[in-house]
Amino acid sequence: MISRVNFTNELNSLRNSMSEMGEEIKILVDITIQVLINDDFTNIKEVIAGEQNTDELELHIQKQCALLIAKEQPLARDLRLIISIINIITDMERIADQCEDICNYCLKLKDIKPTDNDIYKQHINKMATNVAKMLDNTLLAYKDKDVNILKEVCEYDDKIDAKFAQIWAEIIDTMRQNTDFIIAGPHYIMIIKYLERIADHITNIAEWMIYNITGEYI
Amino acid sequence: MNNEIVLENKTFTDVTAPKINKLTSSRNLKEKFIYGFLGVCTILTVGFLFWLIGYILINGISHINLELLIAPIVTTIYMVLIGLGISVPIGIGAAIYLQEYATDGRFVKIIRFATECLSAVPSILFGLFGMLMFVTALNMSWCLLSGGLTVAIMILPTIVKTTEEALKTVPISYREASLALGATKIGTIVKVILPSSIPGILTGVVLSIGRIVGETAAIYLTAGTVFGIPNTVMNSGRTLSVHLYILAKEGVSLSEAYGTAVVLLIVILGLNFLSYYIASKMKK
Amino acid sequence: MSTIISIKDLHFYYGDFKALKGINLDIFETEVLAFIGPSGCGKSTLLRILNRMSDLAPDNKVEGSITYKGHDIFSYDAIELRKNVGMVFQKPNPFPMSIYDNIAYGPRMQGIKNKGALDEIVETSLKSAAIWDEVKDKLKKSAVGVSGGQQQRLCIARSIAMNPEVLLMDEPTSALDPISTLKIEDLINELKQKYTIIIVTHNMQQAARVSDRTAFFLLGDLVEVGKTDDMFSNPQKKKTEEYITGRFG
Repeated sequence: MISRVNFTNELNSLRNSMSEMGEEIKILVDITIQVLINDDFTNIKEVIAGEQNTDELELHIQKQCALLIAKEQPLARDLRLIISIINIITDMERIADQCEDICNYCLKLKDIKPTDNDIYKQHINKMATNVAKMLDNTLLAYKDKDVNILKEVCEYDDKIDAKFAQIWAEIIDTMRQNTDFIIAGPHYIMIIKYLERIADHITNIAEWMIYNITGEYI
Repeated sequence: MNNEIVLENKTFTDVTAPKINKLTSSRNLKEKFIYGFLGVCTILTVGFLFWLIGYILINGISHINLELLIAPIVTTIYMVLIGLGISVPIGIGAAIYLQEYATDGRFVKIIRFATECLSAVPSILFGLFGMLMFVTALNMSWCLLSGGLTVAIMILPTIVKTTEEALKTVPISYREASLALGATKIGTIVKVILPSSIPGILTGVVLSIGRIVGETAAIYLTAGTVFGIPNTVMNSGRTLSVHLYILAKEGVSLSEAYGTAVVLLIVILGLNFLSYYIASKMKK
Repeated sequence: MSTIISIKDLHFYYGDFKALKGINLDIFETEVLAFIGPSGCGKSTLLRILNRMSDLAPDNKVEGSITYKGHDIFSYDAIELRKNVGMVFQKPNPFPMSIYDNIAYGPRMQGIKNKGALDEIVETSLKSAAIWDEVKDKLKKSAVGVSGGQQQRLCIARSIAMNPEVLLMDEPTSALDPISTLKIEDLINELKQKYTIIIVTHNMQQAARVSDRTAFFLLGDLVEVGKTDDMFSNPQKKKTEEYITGRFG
């Protein structure tokens, strides 16, 4: 017999809200990557709207969580679910912020029209696609409750960090050799820094998902 | 769980018992003496009971003549039915009034005191009253009805008292539940309170039957001593106890008296067991 | 939401003791309203006035007015009132009769004798109280023989059988184990579709879980009443905050 019908319904709606926010983030990241890779600015307004939307979603879910804690005294996996959701939505909201930031730098780069950027562009594109894949894997793995994939995501973060260091060095090198690149270079550095941060947030999300499923802190 | 508790107790006594013994050896001796004394008292009580029952059984069991006893047995049953028929409705009614309606004022206290006094009055006084009232004043002469009315008055306090006690044990929550369902007070009493106090009332009834069956003096003075099955309630009759009294007192036949005593004893014991049975069922 | 019970400037005395000091409160149709507060705050007293169970003691005195659907309840016939305003008590108190007779008790008292009609009332009431499946095979067995939680749901079914509009619940789960408690709470959640429920509880978490609005009482005063969501996350009065956070006194 199902007990605590009301509470169960509320938890389900909370899960749905979080998934909805996850989907929203995924779209934002995809658009951002399009902007970054293809210089395709057609959907850039959606990023700004999406960022605001995630802010609202975060607030809404946070309120829901606070009410559930106040009213239903969640314990064990219910408690873990709510704690992890509170943390996950914070990271998701930060990801949306950083997507917006990346887009802003892309807009500025559009005006600068940098030359001699093909090599870094390739590296940066690769890094961005990898970050997007990380997010996809995380969201999918949560749906399937696949802890192994989530752990792989956490480990993959180190590779992104390494990639960041590598591209960083290459950009500095280029700036030394080509003074024209001194204006565009820092923009790219900021972009890869944001990408690296998004990866960090995804890692956090994966860690909280593992906590939700198994109860262990990574 | 149980095992654990027993184990704990054991260790407790093992550790502390020797100390207590040293400190209180003189007290122990005194206690043993008292134990012994109390044991002897118990054995005496039970012994007398068995002696009495055994004595009557041995002397009477071979002299039971059912053919001769049918008339007194039937008369006894009549007497019980008349007594209860009058007393039970009145007694239950009075008890309901006292318990459910009357507020604890001076009046109720006086009524309660009066019923207590009534139950302490010796039965010969009821007999005397019955004789003067029903037999003489109302000119009913010695008959079953006079006897029945007399024993009815005699058992009334018992019925009232036991019914009151039974009503008291009905939880207040039943009353509240019934009233909260929009039931009236009288509806609540009839449908909930009385049914759940029936076992208690029955115990009182059985005790009263025992008193009627065992009663001699009051019935002897009001229902007369005519031997035979009475045709109407206006006929005289002789119950088992009266029969026994006459057999023994007038020296007609001592062995027949013993036979009657056995039957009487069996009836009384049976009734006692019945009341225990009802009481134990009530506790469940 | 329209008002079903309206309490205005209600004072109540047990002999010389003033138990309620001027309560003003409107109760709405099909809401779950919880009364919380420490022992002796007057919450049970108020509940028992609402169906006039408080009449039973002779020393009680009421001042002020309570209207049920616009009628003054004190000039209403108490028996009529109780048919509309049912009550569930702290300890499960089924009558010592069969389950069927327990549920049919109220309707029978109202004069319903038809077997078919009674059967139907018993079945729908037990179904509404979410206990039909558990007892349908033992309707003729004693109601006292089932578990405490089931007994309490039987008592709820018994109240529902009268087809009331309001259900008063006086700490309905304080004698039950946690699982039975949660079942009763689920039931309350279900019943609020049809009935107005007023529940007195010592268990604040229970008030939080089941009620739409919560009223906090203290020493005979109604300190605060408001949406449960707000009361438990952001109460307006300092006393309420102290009580629900356990920093009382």
